[in-house]
Amino acid sequence: MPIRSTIDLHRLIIGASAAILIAVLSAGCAGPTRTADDYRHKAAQTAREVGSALASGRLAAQQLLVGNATKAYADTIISEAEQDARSAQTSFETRQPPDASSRDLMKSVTDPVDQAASLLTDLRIAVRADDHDATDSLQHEVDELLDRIEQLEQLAS
Amino acid sequence: MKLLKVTLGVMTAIGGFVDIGNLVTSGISGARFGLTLVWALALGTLGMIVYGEMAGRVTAVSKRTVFHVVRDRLGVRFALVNLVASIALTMLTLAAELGGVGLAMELASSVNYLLWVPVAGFAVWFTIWRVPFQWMERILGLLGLALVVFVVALFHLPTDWHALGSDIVHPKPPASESMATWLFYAVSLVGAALVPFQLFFFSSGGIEEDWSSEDLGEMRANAFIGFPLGAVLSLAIMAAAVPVLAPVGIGGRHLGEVGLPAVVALGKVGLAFAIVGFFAATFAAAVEAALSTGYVAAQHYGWDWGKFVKPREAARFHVVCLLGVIAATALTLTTIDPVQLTLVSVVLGTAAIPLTFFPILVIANDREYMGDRANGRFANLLGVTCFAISVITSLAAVPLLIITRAGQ
Repeated sequence: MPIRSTIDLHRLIIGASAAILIAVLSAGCAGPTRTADDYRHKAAQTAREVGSALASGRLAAQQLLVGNATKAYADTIISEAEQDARSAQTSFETRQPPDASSRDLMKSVTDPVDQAASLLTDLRIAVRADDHDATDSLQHEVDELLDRIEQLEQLAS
Repeated sequence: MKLLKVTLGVMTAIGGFVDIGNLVTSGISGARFGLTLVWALALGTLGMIVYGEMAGRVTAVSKRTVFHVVRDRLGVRFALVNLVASIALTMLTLAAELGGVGLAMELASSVNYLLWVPVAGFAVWFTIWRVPFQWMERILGLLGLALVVFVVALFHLPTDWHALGSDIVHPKPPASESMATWLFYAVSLVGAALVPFQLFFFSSGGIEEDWSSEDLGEMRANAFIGFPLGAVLSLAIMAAAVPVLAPVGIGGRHLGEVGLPAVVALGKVGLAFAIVGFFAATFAAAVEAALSTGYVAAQHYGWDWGKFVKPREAARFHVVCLLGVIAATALTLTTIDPVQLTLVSVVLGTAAIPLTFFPILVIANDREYMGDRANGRFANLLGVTCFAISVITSLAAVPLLIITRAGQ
């Protein structure tokens, strides 16, 4: 094989590998929130992610209580939901609100998001402790919070 | 006996078609977009059937694998690029599948998936080293059929069939979702159906099974029955998410969430079937992916390969498989999110599909190799159409991955 062709081939392989690496790394990055619109979009996305986590945890707990799911399965889903809520919480709270209206939005989002993460922690503890009464009671609290999160998502979007 | 041999097609359908990529993309698509993306699944399935049949035909007629013929017919340089891209993508897929096996085990045990990943890696290597090819395909193929539970669940759930039908005939993103995200998942579904390593595995499996021209009918049965069966299971997973996950806003990003429709519909029995199905589909795909790394490397360099020879006689092939398993296990153990890894590997795989399709199309038209078994007009029409679709999805894949931040 001629040397020049070999160099071209190596360049092509290195270029393709670099492109793949950049794509993988950039796919995992959170986007910037430079404007109020960006921030509102991020708030809506956070509300949607936390709402999804709450709904997931609630359905898993409900299925456990009616005897449809095993403890291991419900525990896994609720633990993942808790991690998702915490991850969304951290991702939102590390953003700098760009203006006064964004700061107001931050205050209205932070409280229910924090509450969601705590509720899912309590739910996980109750499920692992086989405390069905606490699990049942927490389900109702999740329902109430879900309504607030849904309103928040509509407000932010 | 003939019926048993069709299991190769079933295993390919379950292990390659329904793998972690398909489980995740079908679950998310159903939860977020209803059945509006069925067209993408159908396109991917059509491409897999058309090119699977071509790859199988090339193998059966020439008695050589597609990768071997690529090097011979299109040159060492093209084959080397193909080899590097195939191994890199297969490694990502293998890491994602090992993560999927770990996640399935976590659902059964609540022990963190990361603790299961080394066990899964060891089990994959042991299967490759010790378990005969036919045993492997039959056991995993039959276990993978447990995913039929999603078809059964669909009939037990309050499914709005009219709404599902309406989604299929009116494909557009829901008001709450952007066009870019919708298209990202469309590309993901095409990529989950068209797994490049699957074609190399299908072709190499033909040599393991000693296909010849006389086996073309059986090979076609595998491609025409096995792949659509996988697509039906994917469709059922997608459709079952609609009445259970979508109404309450669950995103379907976790394997456990994908299983919820089976649990809601059929209780613990449904759960058991779903977990067994998840395990079998991801484990079979992990074995196939690990084998494929060994297959393509050995076929490119002309080493002895395959499970039809003793490990001692194909030592370099087995070493590559082992190194692949070790590297993929290490990647998964970095705690990278297996679902995110799956989405990235599926979309990058989509970008590389033309690299796999093009040589197969060229060789299937080569009368020197294929004689009167070369592509006819109809096969070429389908082949060129699918190739054009693969080029379009390939060009869109990476930009959509970046714009949507992997579908967030």
